[in-house]
Amino acid sequence: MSASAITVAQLLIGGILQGGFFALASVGLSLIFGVQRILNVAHGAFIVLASFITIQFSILITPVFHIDPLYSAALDFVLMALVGAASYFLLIYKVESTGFEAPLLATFGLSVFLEYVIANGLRFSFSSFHLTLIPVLDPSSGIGAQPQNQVYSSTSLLVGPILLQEPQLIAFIVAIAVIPLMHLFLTRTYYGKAIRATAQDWEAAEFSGIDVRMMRVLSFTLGSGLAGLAGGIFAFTNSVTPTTADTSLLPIILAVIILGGVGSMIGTLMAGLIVGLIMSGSDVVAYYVLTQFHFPTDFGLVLTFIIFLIALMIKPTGLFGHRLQK
Amino acid sequence: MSLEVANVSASYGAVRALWDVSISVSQGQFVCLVGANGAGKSTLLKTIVGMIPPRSGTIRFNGRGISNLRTHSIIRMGIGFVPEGRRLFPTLSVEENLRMGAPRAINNLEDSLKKVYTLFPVLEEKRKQKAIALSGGEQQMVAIGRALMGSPRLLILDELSFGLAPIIFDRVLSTILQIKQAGVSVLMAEQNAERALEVSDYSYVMENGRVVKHGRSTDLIDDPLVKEAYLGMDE
Ligand SMILES: Nc1ncnc2c1ncn2[C@@H]1O[C@H](COP(=O)(O)OP(=O)(O)OP(=O)(O)O)[C@@H](O)[C@H]1O
Ligand SMILES: [Mg+2]
Repeated sequence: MSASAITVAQLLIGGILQGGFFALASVGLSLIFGVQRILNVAHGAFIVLASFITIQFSILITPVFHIDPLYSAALDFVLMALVGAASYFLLIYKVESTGFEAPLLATFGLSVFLEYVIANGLRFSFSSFHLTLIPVLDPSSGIGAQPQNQVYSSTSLLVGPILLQEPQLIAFIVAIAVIPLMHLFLTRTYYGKAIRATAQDWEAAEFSGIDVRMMRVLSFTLGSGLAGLAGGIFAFTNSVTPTTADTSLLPIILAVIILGGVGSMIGTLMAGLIVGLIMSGSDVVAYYVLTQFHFPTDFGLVLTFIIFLIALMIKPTGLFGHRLQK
Repeated sequence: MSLEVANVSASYGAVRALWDVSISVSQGQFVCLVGANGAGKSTLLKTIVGMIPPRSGTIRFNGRGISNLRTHSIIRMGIGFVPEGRRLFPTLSVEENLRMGAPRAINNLEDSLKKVYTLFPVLEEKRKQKAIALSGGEQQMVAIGRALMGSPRLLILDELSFGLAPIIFDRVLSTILQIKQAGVSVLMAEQNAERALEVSDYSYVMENGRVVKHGRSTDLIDDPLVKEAYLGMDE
């Protein structure tokens, strides 16, 4: 293989691995949206908050107790599930019966609030907002390559000529494992089926004796917990800033859940992988082709969304038929 | 089992839909609500199970006030509810739909399932199929079966004839009579007044959100006004 072919293969494989993370980041929101018809725009902020918790963990806990910060992703799951449950009871529960707009505005407010908390509340512990747990290979690429934050020593695997970063691989494996588990939960267990029944017809669910409010709490809590898990893993593979949620995460998550079909777990997984692949493919095209026509090098993201919009025009219901909602 | 609805009023937003309605169902009784399109039959049934909050009046089930409880709690006290239009969970299988009608932790769930399958053998054959793939009559059976899963003492049925051929409706009705024989009380809203009056013990005639007449069904069948207005025949 030529050097540039290897680079392209490297990028595409990186795209698939990143796609696994996209799927994990999206699956909780897809669940919440499918059951409650609530678009929780704070989902991205939940992910970022969890990332900061993991980074804090790596700085405060890991050096003292020698616990791999990767385990803090489980802690993130629990903490964000609690944050989700609290947000539900304090905020969303009060407005959800009024229609679509009020819950949307409520979660938007929550999102702004959380970003403010992340940006200001956590300022004291970091000298820079540009934090990441992966060693920055190219020091010129970011202001944030603060050595004191690079407590996570990552190993890499060489598969043939392809270099795989261990954290990326772990993130991918967790994503690939959790989503089928969610699918099994929704299709095989009483609570999973009751959640789907609630999504399909909440009145009929109440008429059948199902506690709809409890199913909503359950799906919101679980969906938020999944955001926490995704956030914990995110810290190992990406740079995180307080506005990461709005600038890059949320648009991608929305693309994934729309493409995957709202409420479909397996659809979300496939859509995540596809979006990851399209993004890295777009990066390749942008880098090797479009730059020759004087497009900026970061045109890949724009290209990704152009492809996404074209896909939606062709198939407005998303790519995957099987849905939580009828 | 006893159900007492006394002086209940209800509304959709600013639009009043029930005016001072009183009805009662006693143990083992088959009671019907008849009346034209928009008379308020469905509204009354939904108010009884707490889906619509009553503005005034009281609703008692087995002597206990239930008008401040949420619907699933009322259902779990021993009411089976078959909503208008059946409202099955379309992507769940027949058996999953049935299981949704039973509280999670009951220990006689398999017994309940067996009873429903004995009542409707065709459902056992199709238990793995998606509910949406069934015929209208079979879907109505699933809706009734789902309502029976919690072993109710009162079965509430809204517009069973909805979308069914008359012969299928008759078959469904005879099953309901069988369920009644087993000691389950029945409260049924039905536009098809003729059949409703034939099968029931006692009936209430509703018009514009009010009960305008009530009595033994056999008496109402012979009532000239009822005949003219609801049975499509003149004196
Ligand atoms: N969701 C709703 N919002 C506003 N008004 C409603 C609603 N549902 C019913 N109504 C009104 O309340 C009145 C009673 O309706 P209801 O459905 O209870 O009648 P019904 O006797 O069940 O009629 P049908 O035989 O057609 O089922 C009607 O005037 C109807 O237009
Ligand atoms: Mg009706």
